[in-house]
Amino acid sequence: MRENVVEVQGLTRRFGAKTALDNVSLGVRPGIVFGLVGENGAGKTTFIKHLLGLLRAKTGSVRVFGLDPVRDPVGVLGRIGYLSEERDLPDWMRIHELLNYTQAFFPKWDEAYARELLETFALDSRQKIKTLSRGQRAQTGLLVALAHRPDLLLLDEPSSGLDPVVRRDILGAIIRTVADEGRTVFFSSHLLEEVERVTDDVGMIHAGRLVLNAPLDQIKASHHRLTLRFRTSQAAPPRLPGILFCEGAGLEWTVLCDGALDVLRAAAEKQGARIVEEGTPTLEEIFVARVKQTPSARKEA
Amino acid sequence: MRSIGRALTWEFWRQYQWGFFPIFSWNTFLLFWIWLIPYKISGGAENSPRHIEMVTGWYAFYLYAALFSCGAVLLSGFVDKRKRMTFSVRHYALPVRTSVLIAWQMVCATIFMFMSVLAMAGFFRLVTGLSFPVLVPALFCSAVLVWTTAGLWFLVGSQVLTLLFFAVVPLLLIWGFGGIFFRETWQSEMGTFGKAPLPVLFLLFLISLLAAYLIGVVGAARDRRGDAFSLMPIREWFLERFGTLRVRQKRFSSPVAAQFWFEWRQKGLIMPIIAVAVHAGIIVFILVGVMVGDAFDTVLGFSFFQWFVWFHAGLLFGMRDTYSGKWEHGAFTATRPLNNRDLSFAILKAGGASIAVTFAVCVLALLPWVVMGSLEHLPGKHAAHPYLLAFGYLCGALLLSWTLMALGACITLTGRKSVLVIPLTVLSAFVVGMMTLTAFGVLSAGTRKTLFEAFEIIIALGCFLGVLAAFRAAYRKQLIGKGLVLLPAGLWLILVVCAASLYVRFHVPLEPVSVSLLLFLIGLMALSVAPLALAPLALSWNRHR
Repeated sequence: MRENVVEVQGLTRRFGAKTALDNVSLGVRPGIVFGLVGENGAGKTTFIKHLLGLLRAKTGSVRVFGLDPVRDPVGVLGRIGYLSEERDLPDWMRIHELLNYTQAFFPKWDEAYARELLETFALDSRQKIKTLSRGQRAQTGLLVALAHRPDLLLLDEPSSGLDPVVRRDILGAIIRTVADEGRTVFFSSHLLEEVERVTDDVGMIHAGRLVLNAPLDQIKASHHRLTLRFRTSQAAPPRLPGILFCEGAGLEWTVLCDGALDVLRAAAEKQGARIVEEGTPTLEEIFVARVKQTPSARKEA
Repeated sequence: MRSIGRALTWEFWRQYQWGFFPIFSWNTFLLFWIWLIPYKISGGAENSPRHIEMVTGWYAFYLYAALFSCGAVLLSGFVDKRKRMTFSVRHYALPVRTSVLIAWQMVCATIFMFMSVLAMAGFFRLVTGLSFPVLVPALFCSAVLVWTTAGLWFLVGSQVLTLLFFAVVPLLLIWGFGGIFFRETWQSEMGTFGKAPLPVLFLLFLISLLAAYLIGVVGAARDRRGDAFSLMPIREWFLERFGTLRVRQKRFSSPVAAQFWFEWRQKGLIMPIIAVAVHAGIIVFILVGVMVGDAFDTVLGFSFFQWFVWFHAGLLFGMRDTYSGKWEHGAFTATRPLNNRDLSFAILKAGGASIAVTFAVCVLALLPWVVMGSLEHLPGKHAAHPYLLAFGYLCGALLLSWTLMALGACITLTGRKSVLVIPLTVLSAFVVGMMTLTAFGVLSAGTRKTLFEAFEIIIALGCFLGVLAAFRAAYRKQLIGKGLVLLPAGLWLILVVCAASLYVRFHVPLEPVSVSLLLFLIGLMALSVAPLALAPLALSWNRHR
């Protein structure tokens, strides 16, 4: 079995009184697309910064390709293509200067691929980075992250602020391509629709804690949205195993649960309810349910 | 808030409330010492003509300093800090006419500046009992501030013109206004300092305010409709024809070479360009006959004393980039697959190259005088060995420039402003404390000498042990190898031998041997090699937080 590309154990990070990451453990298998989802300020960027060695793991350990990114930045960063959330690029450079400069750091730089991407994104290589639009800036950042065909592509909120066309092109094509070549993609986002479209594994982070980490298929298979109808009006929400979210009143309630369907059906029947509708929730619904658990559901959980 | 005026005034005050009092208290504090120290040190009588002359000169100087410090605070608050020296988009999105926006900002800024100078000078007058001028300097400072902001708003969109404006216009204003209201007075006596005819003064001030207002409105209105003044067409034309000359086409031989280019392109040419500009200015002054007799001294002075600015240049070199002025290394630079040693050394190397080019410019500028034999006329005690002395000075200046630049870069490489602020505060407190104690005669000459000698030895020991600890830490963290520990040690020994030789050759014949001074020099020499350990350490601290 191949070693995990990313292996994080018991990572905790505090900034003053705020706990940005709380005992996070996570492994990313090679050749997959891993999506880290969470609200703004949940700790996604902090986590990625640890993978890049920009933050030192004060508690716990971080290994990327089996290496410590702080002790061996060349060994780790030389195999990573990174696109930051702020699209941090030197404004004073022209695109071709940036390509020429970046090329020097990566022996595996693929010039033909860089040219191809330049054409795909319709970028003018003579243009100064300062004058690029937000979308073009993201495309340029992605270009330099991809052109050396990295073993791990790290994207921090790659589609934030981009128009739908660029978003679809960039995320759909590039992430899939890179993953298909046996490379690994790790990206963070709060746009769950796009995560659902491209990821193999999903990690959900909330207030610094990793609340869920599993393959997307498994997550979808284990979560169910059920509409229950009771014979008599209910004052309190139904109590089902693995309930995450519940809304409704009186006779009809809709619940979102994590558990085996048979068990849920039996529990509903026991409480005198009939399941009138069964469905698979979207990733967004699962995420919202986990983040915004109703008090009763939290108690139940 | 029911009115636009009140809302804008409130915003202005909220922005500057924390700037006003520190500036006021700092300047007042300085002015107080300016008044106190000269006569305490010189031992002359209070308010004697000599004392007044000294104080007036310093007063004028500090007015300029206050003007620029206030101006800097005001301007930094006015502007959209991240991008341009103008109003932010938020301001432009307000349902307010540009003329109102400008008027309010100008009126608030004028009142702010006027009040701060008024308070400062008034307080000074109250404390010292001298009839210091209040109104004229306050009007002068306000007018300069208003013109500076108006100019900035007018030129927004062109960084080149803005920089040029910053360099030239304040000087012209100081020269012009100073010529009218200051020059004749501050050089004569205190009593005539504020005797410019007041109605004329006010009229001139109002006219200049109005003119500045109109210029500001035109500039800001243009900027607001996205039609800012730009040199872009000229730039594009130039780049179309000569662009390939300055664009690097060749591949870099290594990541370190690429990083060096990255640092050099951003920061490397700033100091050489300044050196060329200074020397070009001197040539112009010589040609128009303003500076003839003292031209040689100026060129020599600039060459030998430029080390003073290299600390600031070093701070710039260590920054993430010159545009953002940020200290913390961002994702782009911090994720280069380079280790901390190579990344920090690329920065130091760019700084070193910049020093070399700047000194080359200075040496070239000095050559005509060497040819003309002016060095033979060096004043002082060493006229018998002019070339040796000049060479010694030059090497000393080079070493000092390198040391200060590299230490400055190490400070910013840490990414933490407290690393600069705390030592500077402690040092300033020490100097002010010593000056105070001396001024009040608390310390006798003997005690003062002993204290300074002890200070020299403490500094020497601190430097030496500190540098040793830095190398140990860098080695233990595997930031540097054995070679980079032994090489600096050798370099330090060579420097110590050179410094001791120069000390014996030039200092010993004139004054008795001072062990503390010698130790001080040896300790300081360690600082020249310290950046080889400090820079990777600082960057590591910044990069892996």
